[in-house]
Amino acid sequence: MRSFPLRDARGRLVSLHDVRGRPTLIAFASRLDLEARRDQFRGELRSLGAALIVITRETIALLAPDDDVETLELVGDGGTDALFAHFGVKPGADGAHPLGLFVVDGDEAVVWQQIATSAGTDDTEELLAALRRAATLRQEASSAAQPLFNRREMIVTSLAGVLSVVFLERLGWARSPAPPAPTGATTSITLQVNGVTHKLDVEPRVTLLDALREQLGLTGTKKGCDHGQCGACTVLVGGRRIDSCLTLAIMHQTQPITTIEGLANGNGLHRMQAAFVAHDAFQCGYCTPGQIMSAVAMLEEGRVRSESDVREQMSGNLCRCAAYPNIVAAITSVMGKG
Amino acid sequence: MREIRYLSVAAEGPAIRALQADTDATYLAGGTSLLDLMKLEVLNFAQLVDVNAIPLTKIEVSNDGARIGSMVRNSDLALHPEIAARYPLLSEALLSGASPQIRNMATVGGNLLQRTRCYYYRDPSTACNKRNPGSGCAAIDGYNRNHAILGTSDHCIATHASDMCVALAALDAVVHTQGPGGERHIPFAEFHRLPGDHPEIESVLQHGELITAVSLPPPTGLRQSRYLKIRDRASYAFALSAVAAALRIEGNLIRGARIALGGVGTKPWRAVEAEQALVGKPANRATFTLAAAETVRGARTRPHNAFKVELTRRAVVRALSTIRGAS
Repeated sequence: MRSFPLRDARGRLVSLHDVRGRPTLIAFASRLDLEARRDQFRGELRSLGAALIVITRETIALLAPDDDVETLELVGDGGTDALFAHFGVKPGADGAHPLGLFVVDGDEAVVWQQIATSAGTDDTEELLAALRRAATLRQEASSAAQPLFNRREMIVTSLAGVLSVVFLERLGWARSPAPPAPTGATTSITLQVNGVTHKLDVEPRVTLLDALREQLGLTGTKKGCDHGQCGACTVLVGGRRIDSCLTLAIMHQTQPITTIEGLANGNGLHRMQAAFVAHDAFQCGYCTPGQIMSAVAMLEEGRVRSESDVREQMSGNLCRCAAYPNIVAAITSVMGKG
Repeated sequence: MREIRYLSVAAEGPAIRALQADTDATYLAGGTSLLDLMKLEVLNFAQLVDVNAIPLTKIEVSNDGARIGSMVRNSDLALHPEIAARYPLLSEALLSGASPQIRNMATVGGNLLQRTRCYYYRDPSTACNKRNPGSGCAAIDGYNRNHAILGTSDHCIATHASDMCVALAALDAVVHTQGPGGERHIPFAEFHRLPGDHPEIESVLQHGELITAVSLPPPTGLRQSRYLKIRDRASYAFALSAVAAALRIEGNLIRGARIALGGVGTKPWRAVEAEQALVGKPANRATFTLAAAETVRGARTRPHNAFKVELTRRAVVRALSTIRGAS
């Protein structure tokens, strides 16, 4: 793994993965003004327990929760272009500029990343809002009186998990590459999603999952296996849970569709969402929307009497992080409230 | 998935005519097998005729038996109170298959035609007589742990994957169809074909023939039953071996018996000889053990699936013992 040692104004060495004992968030942007919102950034970073390194083509800036904004210099050749290249952050088409966010481990291997292009000119507010939401989620998930994470690896993992949840939604950054552009004839269809009627043009072969994600921008519904084996794509159609990857969008023009984006009531989380946060029922968060949709439908079905019923009737939703104990705890806590 | 044309129909007639007009078309119901395999380009139909709008969704249960519309979803059938009460074997088998999401999608008609989970069938880069007739069988000398030991041929050893079909085999179901040649009523044992020289032909359905319903005779003597499914994990996995069994015990004597197997046959496997070995005998472990041996008589095993012989024997004994214990 190539590493990129940095030097601060006083000549001290700083690494990309560790700033004076804190894990870092590494952001790539075209324009990001830390100074303008320094105090706000500091507050969020304090809650997250992380420092922030912002890399633009011109400069590298560092903000740790209790310090001023510092400028860093890259030790060695290549300038910031080498960093952009190393992390795979490239300019987009049509002048859209790249945005990237990374969490790295102690070997500077990337443990979490999001790369997208943005048409905006300044990413300051976007990043700040996302960090604020991440910090709130983190606080809700852990008890304030008792620090949950002591070891650095745990902080990195938890940071990555919380950021996944926030960024995938907040910035609408897609994780998987878009399916090949349609080449065949399209048909006009109507879908009723989360109470809104959408008209869209799709090829008949487009799955409900791809239509939701790629055409309606509802990326809360996840593509895992794309073959009905993992349940990450679970949505409700006519109130029933189905795998949206194994059905065509064109087949669902009459019944209302509910996705994870349609569960909350404004800013108030659905009680199942709140329970997942309260019980820390995820690590990476990728399966979580499917788990939550499936759990909501399962309780509606009304056949769950015990924890073992939960395990059996949730067996269509896999979690590669194996957060099952906490998922079961979250669901049973909602059952308990009737 | 390759490009497709799509047509939605609301009645049998237009559906059948659409398929008659296009030899490269097929019916689309729940889609859980078909779309999965079309994404893998194992199946490549040019046109899908969506039959979800055809109102074949009734479940009628009476003293004469049951009639189940082919578009009934697996979950609705499994949880139908009268089906669960009179044909618990069928409910149990359905609930042991797939996941709740898939059971909400999959239909009775579609499940009759569920495709095998043979790894080679699902992988277009390998030889498979079922997918590509005449190309050979990569499973016979390959990794064949999930493959069949009963009903195999030199051209195919793929298992039939459906749990529902195992119960229907035990329950003497009849498959009702409507096609270009009119109606047909096909006894379950005749519906699926053994692979023989043509593993690509899995049922007796003709092109364009639409499954409209499945009927069941009255469940006389079949309510003491058990569907036992052995698999690699506790839920959401295909059967390594599955047993659908029913016993009618009077005094301590067995007066009627049904046994069908899943996960071990190239089609849903009715074990008639084993049933005969039970009738008239005392309901005890010795009888069950003899009958269990009958279920796997003539099994042809491969290096990785030989374990299924003993596994199936034990599963049969356990299923029968459980029924006796409960009766």
